[in-house]
Amino acid sequence: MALVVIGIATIVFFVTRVIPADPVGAILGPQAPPEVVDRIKREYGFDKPVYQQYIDFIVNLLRGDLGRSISTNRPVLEDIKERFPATFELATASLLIALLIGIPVGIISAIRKDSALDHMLRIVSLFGISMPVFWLGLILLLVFYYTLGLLPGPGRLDPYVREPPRITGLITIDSLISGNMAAFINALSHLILPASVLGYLSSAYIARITRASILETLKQDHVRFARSKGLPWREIVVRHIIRPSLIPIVTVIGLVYGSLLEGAVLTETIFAWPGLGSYLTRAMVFMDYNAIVGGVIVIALIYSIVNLVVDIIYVYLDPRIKYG
Amino acid sequence: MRTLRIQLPNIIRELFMKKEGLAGVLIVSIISVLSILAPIIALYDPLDQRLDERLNPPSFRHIMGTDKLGRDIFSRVLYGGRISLFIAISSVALAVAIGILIGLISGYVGGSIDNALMRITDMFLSFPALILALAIAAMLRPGLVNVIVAIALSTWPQYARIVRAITLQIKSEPYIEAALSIGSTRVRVLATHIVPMVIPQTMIQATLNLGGAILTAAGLGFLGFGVPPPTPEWGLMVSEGRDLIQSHWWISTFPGLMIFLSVVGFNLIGDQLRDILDVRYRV
Repeated sequence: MALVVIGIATIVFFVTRVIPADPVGAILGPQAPPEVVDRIKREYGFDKPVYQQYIDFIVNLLRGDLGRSISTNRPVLEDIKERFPATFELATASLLIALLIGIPVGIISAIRKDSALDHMLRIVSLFGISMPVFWLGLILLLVFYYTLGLLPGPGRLDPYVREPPRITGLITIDSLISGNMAAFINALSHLILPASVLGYLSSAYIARITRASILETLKQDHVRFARSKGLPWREIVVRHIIRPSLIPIVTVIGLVYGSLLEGAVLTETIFAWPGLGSYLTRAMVFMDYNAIVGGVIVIALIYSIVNLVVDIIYVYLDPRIKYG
Repeated sequence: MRTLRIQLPNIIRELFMKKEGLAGVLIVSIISVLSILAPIIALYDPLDQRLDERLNPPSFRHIMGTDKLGRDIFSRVLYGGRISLFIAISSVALAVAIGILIGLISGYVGGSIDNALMRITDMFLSFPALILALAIAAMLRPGLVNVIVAIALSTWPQYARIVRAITLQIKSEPYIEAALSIGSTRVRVLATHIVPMVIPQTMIQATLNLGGAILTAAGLGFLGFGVPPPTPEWGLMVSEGRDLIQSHWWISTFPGLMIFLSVVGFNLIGDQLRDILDVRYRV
């Protein structure tokens, strides 16, 4: 896993350094005096040859140092620490929504295969995987915020709400810990729109996999045996169909988390969500090399950790699998 | 070996027999025809700014309204189809080309080269593709070719995997051994016996990914790393109406709807293809 992360870091490093771009110029503008440009280049090490920059980069990476961001002038790691909880809160809420909707929809769709309900649910899922997430976000903002006024607009909290002290960085949790119910309710209502947008897209994916997995199980001998020995259908569904079908779905969660991180980049932009995704897009606009590479490494790390956890859960759920 | 022989005419016939497949083909055809005939259908030049007609709501004159520079959105949506479809098809084609090259080398040469190439492929696959495409597109300057390159560079590994698997399977067939023993060179064997077997499979995979390529291109355009303005690209058009969504909903809504519809069309075709081929695999 560490190797994969270093490999990805290497790929992104060379993507940023090999392609000729002018980060200092992008920050300072074309009118900047050349001696200032030179000083800043020296300060950030951009005047060194690329191989030297790469060696420095890897050595610093192994020490846990991601360098300094050109646009915020703070260590990238500090920036990321500050912004990560917002993305984590959004991604987790979305994953919960996706699982709570996707799995039941997939199960119902499979068991009532080819019914009108199944067709309808499949169309809803098809729409979900075909939806441009940034457009759906805009339209929902238009309907629920600007037109109906039912839900709050962009951001994590309304400006008039007293912010809870930063403990975990997750506003919903922090406000609960500090007993600030007004902030909790406000933060939760701010979460609804972005988390539903992301959650809907992922639930479509989960519903399709669940449906396919259950249809596969339905064909198996042990189900036919359970039916022929006269078990009630409800019990067969719960004990002999859903349980074994859910195992392959667990592996999908890793992939879904990846797509949530992708979706977060676009969703955070729409909802002015101060997370990793909007940090990364901002860094890209300013060609902030260290921030781009750092942000990408953190996302790669999260993605690998989620997949590792999923593999461990998999072994636990399916006693037939043993690693090593 | 049967799994590898894909009969294209049969697949197309089955595609038309299913309601969903037919719907997908219809949606994609209508959008393609509208885009190709854009110069004939569009009543206005997509770049023509008419400041006296800016921000007009949908009406008979402008059925999708006008944007903040007075450009006709319907005309821009039609021309935008050309850009979006072009980006999707060319980026997938480029990714397929890279994937076939790497996959063939990996599968046919084998050994440590295979190992090294597959490790690199794994790294690309263990990472969300859109974020990689974003990083590449942001570093290259915004532009049509650069968007295509960015999407292709972040999506080729899946094709490399498929091509490698097929190559490995064919390599051990007796007829390859026969070709080599009558003196065919390795390059000749690759070109005449392996490449033709690899292409149909990769084409199918490519079709499945066209919808995704449209979404990625639109996402890049929306964030400002795609085709630069004033080009009518759907993602860019959605972002141009973003600040005005509250008062002038039509600017973002229609281009976004087109992205959505075209992806639905491609996904309907993709789903049917997957179904049809699955059956074939089991036969």
